[in-house]
Amino acid sequence: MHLLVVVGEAARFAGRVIVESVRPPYEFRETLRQLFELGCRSVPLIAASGFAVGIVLSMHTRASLARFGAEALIPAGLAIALVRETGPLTAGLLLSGRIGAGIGAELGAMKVTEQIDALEATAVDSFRYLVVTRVIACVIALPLLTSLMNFTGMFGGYVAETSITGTPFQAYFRQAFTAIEFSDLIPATLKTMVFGFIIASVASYLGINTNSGTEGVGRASTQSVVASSILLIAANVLLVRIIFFFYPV
Amino acid sequence: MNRMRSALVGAFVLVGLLLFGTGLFLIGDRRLLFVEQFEINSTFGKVTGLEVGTAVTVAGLAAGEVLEITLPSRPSDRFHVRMRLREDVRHLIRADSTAGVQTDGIVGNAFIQISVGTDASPPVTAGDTITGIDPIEFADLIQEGRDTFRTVSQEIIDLQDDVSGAVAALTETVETANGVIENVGQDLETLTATGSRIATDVEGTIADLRVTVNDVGNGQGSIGRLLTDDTLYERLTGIGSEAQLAVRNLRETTDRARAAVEGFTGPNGTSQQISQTLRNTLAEVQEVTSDLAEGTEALKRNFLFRGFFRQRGFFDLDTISTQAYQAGILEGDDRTALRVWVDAGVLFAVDPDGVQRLTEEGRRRIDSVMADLVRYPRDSPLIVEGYADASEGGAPYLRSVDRAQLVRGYLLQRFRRQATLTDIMALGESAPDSPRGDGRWSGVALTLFVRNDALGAFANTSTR
Repeated sequence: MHLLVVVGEAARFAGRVIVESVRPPYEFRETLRQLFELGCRSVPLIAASGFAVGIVLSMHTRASLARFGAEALIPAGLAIALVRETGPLTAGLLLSGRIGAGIGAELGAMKVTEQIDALEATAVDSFRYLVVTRVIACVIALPLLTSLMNFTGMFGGYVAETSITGTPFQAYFRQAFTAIEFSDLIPATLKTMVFGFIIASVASYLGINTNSGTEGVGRASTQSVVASSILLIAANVLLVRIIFFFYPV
Repeated sequence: MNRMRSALVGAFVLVGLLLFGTGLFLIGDRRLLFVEQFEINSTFGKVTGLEVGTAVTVAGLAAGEVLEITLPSRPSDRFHVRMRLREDVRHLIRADSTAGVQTDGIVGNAFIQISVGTDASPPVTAGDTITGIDPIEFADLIQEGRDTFRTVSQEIIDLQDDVSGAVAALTETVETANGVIENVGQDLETLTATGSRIATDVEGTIADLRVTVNDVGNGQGSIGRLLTDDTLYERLTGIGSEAQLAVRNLRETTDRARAAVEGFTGPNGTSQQISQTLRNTLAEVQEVTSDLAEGTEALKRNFLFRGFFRQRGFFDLDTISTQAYQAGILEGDDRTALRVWVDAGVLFAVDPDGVQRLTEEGRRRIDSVMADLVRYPRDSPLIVEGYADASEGGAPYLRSVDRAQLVRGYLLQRFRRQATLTDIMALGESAPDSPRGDGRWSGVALTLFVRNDALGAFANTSTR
């Protein structure tokens, strides 16, 4: 019963976020600030992770394709793996950890210290100011960070491949994109907007509804990471199914 | 929020959009979205691996993609494939270009390869349809390779059989040729030796003839008196000419035979030429031998040379009377007659119809006699003398002929004697040297005329 109540309240929360995000007035300044905090500050994490993932994927791809004498397909295979699934999902999971934990802890601390009540006392719409701006920033940041992860991953694959075969940079990227279609890049990149919405919404819901003092802040932070990750993966399954429905392989 | 943070946010958004846009551009560039394009069509019986977006190359250069694959309206029709190509490759694609479905390696993607056309054909225009070549599937290759392997194996087996047959036939031919060559060589050697011996004999004869003629010319003997007879002189001249002609022919024949041998063993000789030459030579030799035999026979019967030939053992029993024979004309000065008497009671039996036949005991007796006579040279003439007593009834001469013929036939069959050296002399009942002592004999006498130089210790007369 409690689970159903939580799901229902979370659904109402998400619906309110969608409605409030399109209704003026818009909090541009706070949205940009959140975009900086959530997006720009995540670039090092995403770039480093993408580079490392690219190297690992290249090594695994080479080990698999070399058995069939198909080393020439390594750039294309790596690109397809990154663009279609590995890049978006890895970026989403990484950001659910960093952003989800941050939003949950920040809003939870504001709740237990009655800063949200103070904002309400000054006639500021705390939901629009604190939640909608973070959700919009996440929805905007996730595709951009996913693109960054895709390219840093390909670059890592290039570094790993050129250290073995000496493949030129331009030839590697041209071969990488010979197997990628618009149907591979666009849906997979845009689905991360859903990931951003899920991460920010779940974390904001858990943060705003924090109680029990500082202990509740920590619990909200942890629950934000766990819940957003689970929902992200579940949503990914659904989204991939929807993408395949519109763009069959 | 200060300006620095705003700039960083702007940079973050721009970089993210730029990366995403770069990906879109690379994909679009590959799909020729940013260059001028045209469309052409092709048809295929099967489209293994083809799908919308499949790459299309022109002479190996990436030139476009597949836009649409239309199913055939009925099974006998072909798939219709619509392709979009770069405009800058249109001049390479001619009306005789072909489109084939190929695979990039074993596990690679399928793609359409368009061949470059010929200069004589016009360039294609948008919407044209070029000939499509169906893809070759791996299973088809394996099946084709299996069929090819079976065919090649069968061909090898057939070829092996043919070669074995040819080698066997060649071996047989070589063996036959070797046999023919050996036989021809032996015959040729025999022929040459015989020709040389005959030539030597004839030369000796001519030398003797020349001596005789000289004696006659010198007026020695009674024959000299006959020199005034022109007829005899002309006959003598003719005989001499015939003898010289025979010798000349024989020499020419010998030369030709030698030439035939050289041609046969020479590098340019061929078996056909040799065979033909040999046939011609043999024919000529036969002709010359026939001429020589006729000439010799003429000489034998000529009264001038009869004695000469008789001295050398040449006799014609048809011309010898029984009296002359019994007087020892065949013995002469250099031969001795070895005569064995065999009684008719042992040799012959008379059938109920009155016909004589040789008995088994008679054959064994003849064998016993010949066991002693075969010690002497086989070229010694053997005369079977037939005798018949008047007391036996009938005509003694005819009975003696029959007896001599029976024994002679047995000798020719049993001892392989030469027919020219084995003859008969029917003497009737007259046997002056008969062991009975009354001048008569019933049976036969085997008489071997042996040269004195070959005669050993042997009784002149014996009875069996």
